[in-house]
Amino acid sequence: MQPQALAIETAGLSKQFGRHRAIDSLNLAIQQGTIFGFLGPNGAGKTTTIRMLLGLIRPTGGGGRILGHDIERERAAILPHVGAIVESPAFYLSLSGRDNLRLLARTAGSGDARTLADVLGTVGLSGRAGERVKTYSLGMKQRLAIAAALLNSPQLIFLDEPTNGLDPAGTVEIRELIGQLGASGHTIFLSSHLLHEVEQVCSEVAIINHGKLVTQGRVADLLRQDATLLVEAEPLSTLQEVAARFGVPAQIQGLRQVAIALSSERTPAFVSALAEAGAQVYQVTPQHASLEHLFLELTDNAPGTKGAHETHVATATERTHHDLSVAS
Amino acid sequence: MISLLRADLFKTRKRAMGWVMLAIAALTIVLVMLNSALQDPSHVTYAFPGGLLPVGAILPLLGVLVMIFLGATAVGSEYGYDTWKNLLVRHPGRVVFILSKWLMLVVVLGLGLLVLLPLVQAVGLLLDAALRLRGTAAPQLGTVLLLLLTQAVAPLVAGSFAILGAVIGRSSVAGIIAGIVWFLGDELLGAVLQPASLSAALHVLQAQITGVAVPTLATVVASLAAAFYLIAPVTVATIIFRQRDMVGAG
Repeated sequence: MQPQALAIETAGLSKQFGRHRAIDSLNLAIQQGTIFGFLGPNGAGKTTTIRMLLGLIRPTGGGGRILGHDIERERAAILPHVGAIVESPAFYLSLSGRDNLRLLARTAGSGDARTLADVLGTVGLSGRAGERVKTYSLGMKQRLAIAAALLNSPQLIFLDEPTNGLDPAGTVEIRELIGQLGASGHTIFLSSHLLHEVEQVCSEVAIINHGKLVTQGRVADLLRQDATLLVEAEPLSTLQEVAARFGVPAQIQGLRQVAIALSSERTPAFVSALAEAGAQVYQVTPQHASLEHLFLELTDNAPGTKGAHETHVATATERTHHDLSVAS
Repeated sequence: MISLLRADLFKTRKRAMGWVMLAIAALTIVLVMLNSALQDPSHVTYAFPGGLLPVGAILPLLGVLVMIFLGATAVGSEYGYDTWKNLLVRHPGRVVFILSKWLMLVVVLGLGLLVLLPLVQAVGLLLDAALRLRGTAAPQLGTVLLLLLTQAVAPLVAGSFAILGAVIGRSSVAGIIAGIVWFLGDELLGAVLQPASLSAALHVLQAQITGVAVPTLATVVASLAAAFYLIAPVTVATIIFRQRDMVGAG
């Protein structure tokens, strides 16, 4: 079985600004065709990572590849296949939306009138393209930025906080557009701290904090790991004993209530064990696993400190290697 | 490089300020010509190719200021709008970016002269006829063109220093300050250390062109100085920009 090609891979990617280590040995592996969420609190290093991948800043350690090409030595081979929004959208305010796109197209040596019309139509700006960008709302500028990222029909698109500052309607629009782009085969690298949005569109995520990768994996797998059960039963000691037998910590929530990290597949066995142990079970409530909860849990504590919850879900590379070994 | 140059020219063409400056330059030249003709009609003539010379007369000052503004804003506006990140993710070459800005200045200066020269010559011929100017004939066309060429060097160099200043200071204001500081400093340098001054070097070259006897060594030194000023600022700007991390607005 052929391994799926990686759109982005980094190995020990690091960036130091003076004494400040902004990115510390980042290892990512992102398959093509993925809508990949890159999450982290403000100042975690998300934009710094994107800037390194795009060649705007130089790594101080490690390296990376985009579409098989080295990010430092082969930028000329990478850039024709990449589109990007880095931080806030930036345009020449005195020029129209169309003129801004025309200028960017000329910079890349590509883009005809038809391409401009197509991308403007894709983002819903055809009617306002002739107006100066200074008259645009933030949402329109974001859409224009996405249009600019689509000019060269890229395989890989970097979107850095594309819904920043948008109202709910604008956020939904951008989210739907991202979903459409992903469905049409583009690889999307979506950097955001809006977890609900990421959870809805991304198939795979990585969480970064203080410049370090905390976890990476499929959203479904990460949320399954994070599944929590609220069990109300007596006596509490029996609850804790059974939880210990299942190898999961029991967080006491009340006089007769504990929260345990337990997947839905193991819940029947757990409840049976409680009954066999003589516990009176009043209520078993699965807590809806969310990316937000996982994110807060993983980023509230710095990696390596007491209470830190560092999980590892198989990366794309590891899954690929596993698939290869199974096939052989 | 050509795609970048086209992009920069497109942007310059779309900016009203460029056209306004061209109009101001044309108006200034015409007013200067009119003033000279009215003051001393017996010693002034604008017969071809002499009617081209007034264009060169404004280059050392107005031309310098225009090129400083264009050079500073060509680079500084990219920092101000943070549009560098848009450009650099579409084109890998940082060296060609700065060179394209400089080349844009060369093209704009050349196009500006192409517009102004015939216009000014036409106005000159009108003034000659209307005011019956009786001045002596101008030098030959080749001499006039060489003079204009040397007069165009100072604005170009000023624009280069403006580019350098904008790269270092990451703003148009820094570029404008750098250009003006160089311009004023060069005048002072001419009084203190003549061989190092561009304006002094250009005077030597212009004297040579108009037939004044100038030692060969002085001509060589002046040529080297002019070449140095044409190449050095943009080279330094390119080196600095190539090494820089583009970390954010401003």
